[in-house]
Amino acid sequence: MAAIVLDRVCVDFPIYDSDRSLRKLLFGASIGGVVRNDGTRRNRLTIRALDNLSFELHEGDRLGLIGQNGAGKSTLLRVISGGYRPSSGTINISGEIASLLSLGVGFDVEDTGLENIYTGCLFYGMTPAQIREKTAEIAAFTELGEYLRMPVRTYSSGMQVRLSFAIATAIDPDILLLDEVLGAGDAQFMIKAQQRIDRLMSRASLMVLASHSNAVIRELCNKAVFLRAGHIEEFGPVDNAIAAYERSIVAG
Amino acid sequence: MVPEIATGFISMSLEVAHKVGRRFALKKASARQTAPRSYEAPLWVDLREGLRRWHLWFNLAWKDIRSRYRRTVIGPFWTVLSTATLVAALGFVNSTLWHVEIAIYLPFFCAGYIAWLLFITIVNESGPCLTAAEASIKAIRIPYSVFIFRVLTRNLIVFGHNLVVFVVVALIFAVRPTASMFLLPFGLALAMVNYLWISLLLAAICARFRDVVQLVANASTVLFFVTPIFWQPAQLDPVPLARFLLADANFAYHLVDVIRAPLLGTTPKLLSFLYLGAAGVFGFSVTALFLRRFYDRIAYWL
Repeated sequence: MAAIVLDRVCVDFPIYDSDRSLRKLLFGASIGGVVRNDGTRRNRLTIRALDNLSFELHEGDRLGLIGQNGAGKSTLLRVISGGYRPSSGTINISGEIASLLSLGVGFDVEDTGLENIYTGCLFYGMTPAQIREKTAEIAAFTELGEYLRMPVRTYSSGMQVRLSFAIATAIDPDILLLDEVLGAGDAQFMIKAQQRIDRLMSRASLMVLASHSNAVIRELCNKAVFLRAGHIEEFGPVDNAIAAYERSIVAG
Repeated sequence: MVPEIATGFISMSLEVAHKVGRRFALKKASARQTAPRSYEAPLWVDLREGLRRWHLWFNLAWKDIRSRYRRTVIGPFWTVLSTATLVAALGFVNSTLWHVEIAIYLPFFCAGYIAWLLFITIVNESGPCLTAAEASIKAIRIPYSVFIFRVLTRNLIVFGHNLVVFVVVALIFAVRPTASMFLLPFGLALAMVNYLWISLLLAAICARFRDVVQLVANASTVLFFVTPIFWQPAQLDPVPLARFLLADANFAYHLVDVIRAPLLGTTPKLLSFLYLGAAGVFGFSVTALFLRRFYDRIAYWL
């Protein structure tokens, strides 16, 4: 049974030197927690991106993450996906995870579309047998036809999004993690993409979604968490969390 | 007046209490972080999960080789050609300079050189291998060792190509096949086991300290000249200290010799097997300890 249990999870981003790490931190991932001196080590600067997060999600929960840029939404998704391990606290997950946090995991533009489907699916943990089973379906979804036999280098950016989106959504997960990265492709494809996500969501038994659109959250989620500067301001029914979020915006 | 002072005092003491409490809470949090872990050592978990993903790393290694020669006319033959050219040129020059018979010198240098290439390319490619995979590592849960196995596999394939050069040299100069050649898989395996921990440890350290990549590149050039590869270890015999430092105590020498000796039809010294066995045990212990402490931090270093 799918479940996510976070117990006092903190994430501190260390800053080793302004030249390399800081620039990456500020422009790479969208985090903007509390900058502070890590008292335990010689004045090492850290950014606390997640501060003491505890909550539990079970079968049937569809959690929306809301909060301003840098509130820790993406970082939280990455902690759940297993990319980042918590600096302290524990996280327990049962169930197969699919994370649509960044498109193009393991992408090689020199390879053809079909080769990228194979490699991409391997990255997401599929076996060659499963991939053979899925390839036709993925290829059909991309609508790229003969282009799939050409190097991805020759694709337009919209075509690349089609391909990587189709790969990332090919798995049948218990837990689905979504970040609102899916803003490319033409209008017709967006409708198709939305249908595919809807189908994925209906099959996954647990979902966590980060979005800036309250309408999307209201429509898709039955729980929401409002994050501010890395800690939980409100956790519970969607309307409560959104109300708290809107109050905080009005209050500035 | 009095109530005002009282409330002021109370709020002040509350603040102090709050601060003390906070500090205490922070201490508790950090104690939690450094507390001994009850779960399995991260090294073994990572290696086990990484091995299970062999389809992935084998595919990646194969793709690396392919993409290296994409759109070239002679493809992997370039590897063979560049090794062959260097072996032939240096072999000719050195055998002339030192008045060694070329039929003895060239097979020796060729065998040593391809074993050396295996070692030094792995060492140099391990450093940046996790940094290069940053995007995938941060987006999905994937064992780090996948990228280590990728480097090792890729270089084994290149070693296979280079072996062709040695076979040709051995045929030309009639190197006599002996039973010792059957020790080659064993020597190669022993070297690879050591490359596994070296590679893991280096990749993790280089993620944190980017200078180490440059340091390794620098050291490897020097190491080539001080290790008996294009000269015979026997040439050191008149100076026992040099013999000890540059050959017997030299890790690189043993890594090369367990592959070179069987290729030349001689048996590697028992010392080499003991040395590499001990180095393996020691190296994996160090790596296990290092990862036990820092495994969770690696993603943040990238």
